[in-house]
Amino acid sequence: MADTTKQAIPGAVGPRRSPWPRIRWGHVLLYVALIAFAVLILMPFAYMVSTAFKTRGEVFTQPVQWIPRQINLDNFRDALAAYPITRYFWNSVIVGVSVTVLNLVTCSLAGYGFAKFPFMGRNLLFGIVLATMMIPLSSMIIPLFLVVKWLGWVDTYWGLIVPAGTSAFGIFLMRQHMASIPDDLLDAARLDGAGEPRIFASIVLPLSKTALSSLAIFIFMWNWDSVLWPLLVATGDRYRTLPLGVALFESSYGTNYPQLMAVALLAMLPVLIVFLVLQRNFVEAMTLSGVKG
Amino acid sequence: MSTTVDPDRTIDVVGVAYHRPRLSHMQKRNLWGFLFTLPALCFFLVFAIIPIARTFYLSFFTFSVVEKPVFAGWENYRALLDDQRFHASLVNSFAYVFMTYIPVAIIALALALALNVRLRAVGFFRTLYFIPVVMSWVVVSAIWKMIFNRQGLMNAFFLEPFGIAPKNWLTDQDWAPRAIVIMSVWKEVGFFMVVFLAGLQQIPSDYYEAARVDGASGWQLFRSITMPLLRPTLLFVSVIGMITGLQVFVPQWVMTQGGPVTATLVMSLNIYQTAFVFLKGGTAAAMSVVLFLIIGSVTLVQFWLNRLGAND
Amino acid sequence: MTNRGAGPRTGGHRVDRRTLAKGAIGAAATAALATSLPVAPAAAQDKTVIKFWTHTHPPMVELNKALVADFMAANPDIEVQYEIIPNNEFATKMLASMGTGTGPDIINMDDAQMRSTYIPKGLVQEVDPANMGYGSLDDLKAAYIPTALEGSTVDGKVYGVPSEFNVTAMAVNDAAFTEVGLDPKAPPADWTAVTEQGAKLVVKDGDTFTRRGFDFTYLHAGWYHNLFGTLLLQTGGRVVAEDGTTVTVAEAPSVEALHIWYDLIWKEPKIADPTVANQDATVPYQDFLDGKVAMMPFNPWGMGLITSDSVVADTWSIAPLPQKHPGSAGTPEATPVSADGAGPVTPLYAYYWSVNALTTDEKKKAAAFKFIGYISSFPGRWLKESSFIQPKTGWEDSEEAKELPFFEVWSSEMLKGQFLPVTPAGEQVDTLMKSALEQSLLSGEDPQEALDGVKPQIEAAIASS
Repeated sequence: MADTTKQAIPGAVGPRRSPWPRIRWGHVLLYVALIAFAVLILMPFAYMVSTAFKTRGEVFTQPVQWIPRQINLDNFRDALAAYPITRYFWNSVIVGVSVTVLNLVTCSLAGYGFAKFPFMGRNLLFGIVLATMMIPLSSMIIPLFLVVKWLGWVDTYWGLIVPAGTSAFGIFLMRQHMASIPDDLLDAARLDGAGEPRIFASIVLPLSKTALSSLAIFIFMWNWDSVLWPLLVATGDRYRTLPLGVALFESSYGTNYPQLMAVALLAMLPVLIVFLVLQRNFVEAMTLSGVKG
Repeated sequence: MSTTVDPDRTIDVVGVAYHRPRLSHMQKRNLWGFLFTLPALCFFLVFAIIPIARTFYLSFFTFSVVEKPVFAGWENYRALLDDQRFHASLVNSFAYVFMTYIPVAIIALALALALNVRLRAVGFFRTLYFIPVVMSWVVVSAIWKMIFNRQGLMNAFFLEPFGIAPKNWLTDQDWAPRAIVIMSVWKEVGFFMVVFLAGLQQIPSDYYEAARVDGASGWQLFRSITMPLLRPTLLFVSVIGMITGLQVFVPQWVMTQGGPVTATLVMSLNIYQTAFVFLKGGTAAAMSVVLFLIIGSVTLVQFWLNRLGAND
Repeated sequence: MTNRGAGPRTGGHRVDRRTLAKGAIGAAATAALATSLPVAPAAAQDKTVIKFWTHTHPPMVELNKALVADFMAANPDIEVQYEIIPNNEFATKMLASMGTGTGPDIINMDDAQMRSTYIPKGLVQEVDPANMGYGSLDDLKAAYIPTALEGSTVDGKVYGVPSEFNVTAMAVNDAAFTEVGLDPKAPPADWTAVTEQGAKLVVKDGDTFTRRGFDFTYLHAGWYHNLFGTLLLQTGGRVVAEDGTTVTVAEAPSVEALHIWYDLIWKEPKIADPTVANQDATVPYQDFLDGKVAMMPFNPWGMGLITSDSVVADTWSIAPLPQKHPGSAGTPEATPVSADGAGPVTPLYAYYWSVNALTTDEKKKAAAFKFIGYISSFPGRWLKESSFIQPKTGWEDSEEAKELPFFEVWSSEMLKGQFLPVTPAGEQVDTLMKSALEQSLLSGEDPQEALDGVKPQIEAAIASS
């Protein structure tokens, strides 16, 4: 028996009760909550951006002025003139990219080794690797510095890059991901006569694209933030990285908040861009890598 | 001359003895596996294991950056029992971990559940919430120093308009730790939200369908399906939260230097100050060992608790 | 070989990823190599390279850079690599570098660190008068006023010459004074008067101070050391007695010193408030510059920070520091009075240029001392361009000295000056003292109790050092 009320609208396909799209009130509430939270999350960011374009007098006003009276680019210009910010920026880029590439290589290899090859002592070694995550840098920084000094790498790119060349978290992440690669695939390749390195390069790596992307983001982001190590290793403008540049800026123009915010804004743009570009891969990787523990 | 034939020795035509390769395919393959891990292991050996071992070794000595080590036995450890700053740092570190990561976990889970409903703009929100995570602590601390300034955003926007007295966030012994917690929660929520999302998306929707057919309510679904199946994710969150939280350093270093008095002195910062400011490297090394043991035990406890819970 | 892997994901990506990775590594390595090559060309040209590091104080940095350039022009065989280190991490970076043998040849360090750490731990070497341009050590000493080298002298050996020499006086906001009917030429000479006049200068917005009458600064441990030390000098108190082991921080004179400060905040009329004070050690005098406090202890180099943007731009002056015992008004004491509270006394503190003890190569050593000799020979420029006083004999008679704002006040205050005593386990004690002082000043704990509380901790620190 056809329910004629459902066919009140001519041309409508299928049963419909009314011409209006069903408003899922639950969803609306959800959107409201999500947007509210998004505003909270972005507020400090907005505060920073707006301050970067203000003059000193406009900074601490009551009520808070979100939009500066005029867009003032002086802060950026003055900040760039005061210190070689671009130099620090390039140092951070060089170090960041190198460290990321090194990590991608070492962690993917090691992750694969730990995941798929039950060699003797594997669990012990993996345990030791994980245990190194439980020691803060401040604890081992002097002996580490002495090692780097012995290698002659103080105040060089090598000293900034190589000690950060691998990471326990990275190995953990890659291992988790690679453990889920089907053994049959690998065995099939072996039966075909492929050597282990070949299998790694042509099967394992391509399957790990998303995990590698997420690792790249993490490593780049952590390295970009690194301040304690570069403080000891680098002196002066030559190898100074961006966070140190921000710290130097705070040291000399501390309460000049607009300029400080301008520098901070410049300092965070690269990571933000890298993240926005890679973020789709990254989230897929989190889903696939399975935080199964 | 022996007449028994050694299966592992063969004499070829020319009379030279050689051994049949002893490695089986499995062993050869495992050797490759080991070789794959070798580059990373070398890095670890030189840049992690050796410095860490040296630190542990030096914890039994008195030394500083500018002094040669002198053997001191257990003295450094014994002194920790009376060290007020050390006790304060222990309390502060754990307080930080709980005050930060419990709210983070709750908020992150709530957000993940919200986003899991497959709304249209999921990707957009997900990216947005993750932005604080990718910002560097140095930059974040600079911004929040401004926000917590007596005339900054926190007082001017959230408190005064509502008639609440403005607080001296970073100079008050009670409020300084809370200020840093607020900043940390803001920064960490996005990361754990994504972790929870990943965990949620692995739960097959059939389970929910089946339960709904049986008449289960939203809350029951959550309790009997979501939570148990999120167990591995929850374990990951609590372990990472604990490990990262107990080692936190940059926010306190940049914002308050451990003050006022010792209100925000956390363990890593104390280690750093003890070594570099007080020039007591031996004590700092001993504290490092203790910190490591604490983190290790706490992690093991968490795994054990997890296993217990999984058995029901 | 026929197995190309599973499904569409592998198509075409294999080569891309590896090549990309290889390319990136190659590029990064080349870039790193290319730019990390040490300054070999300079060495090859037979130049002596010396490293010079300082903290970050913009006026001083600018002058340093200018002098470095001039020196290199006059000495083509020497290259001076000048680096500035951020203030917050200066002490750490210096110690870590010196201790691991990667420090600079010429260092610029304050007297407290010099006497407590750098000299005792053998990090710096004795001055070399010949290379500095003096005939003998006596000639060098004679070139400076009597107290100038105290901060770098231990057991009669001199380890550095002053890059700046500071005494503490008081900055006065003239406009604020006239506004409330006080005479800016008659600022308070003792602490009672400070409270009286300060009370009139206070401006409040509800319960919040928009202008405090008088206040100290509330920054890091070194500042507390200097400021509290100033008060201790006046009352005859000490944290640790001269014997180096008896802790006298809770004795009457020391408690009295803390009360001077404490009462300004917590006893009516309240004229000071740490909760609204600036927390940025980079611009310590910001509150005075912004007109947020009418009177404040001040150093000569602070004058270099006042710009046309400052609220106090044209209406500030320098007056003698308020004293427990002011001495006869208007007559500067001819010699420093001993710190038993019997007369006016002001604290001195200085920064010194020294040479790293590890700089033993003859050429570098000679170059380093030559450089120090050079940059210390322009007291006029230091005065004019960064308001740094270089306490050379006869400095008061130079043109620039006469042009130094409030020159008479500074020089008469210097005559009453004394360096603060060095405490064993200095850094630790400073940190403990900061905590105790904050407990009392910021949180209101009674001074006697706060100091009683810190006494055993200081004893423990000294015992274990």
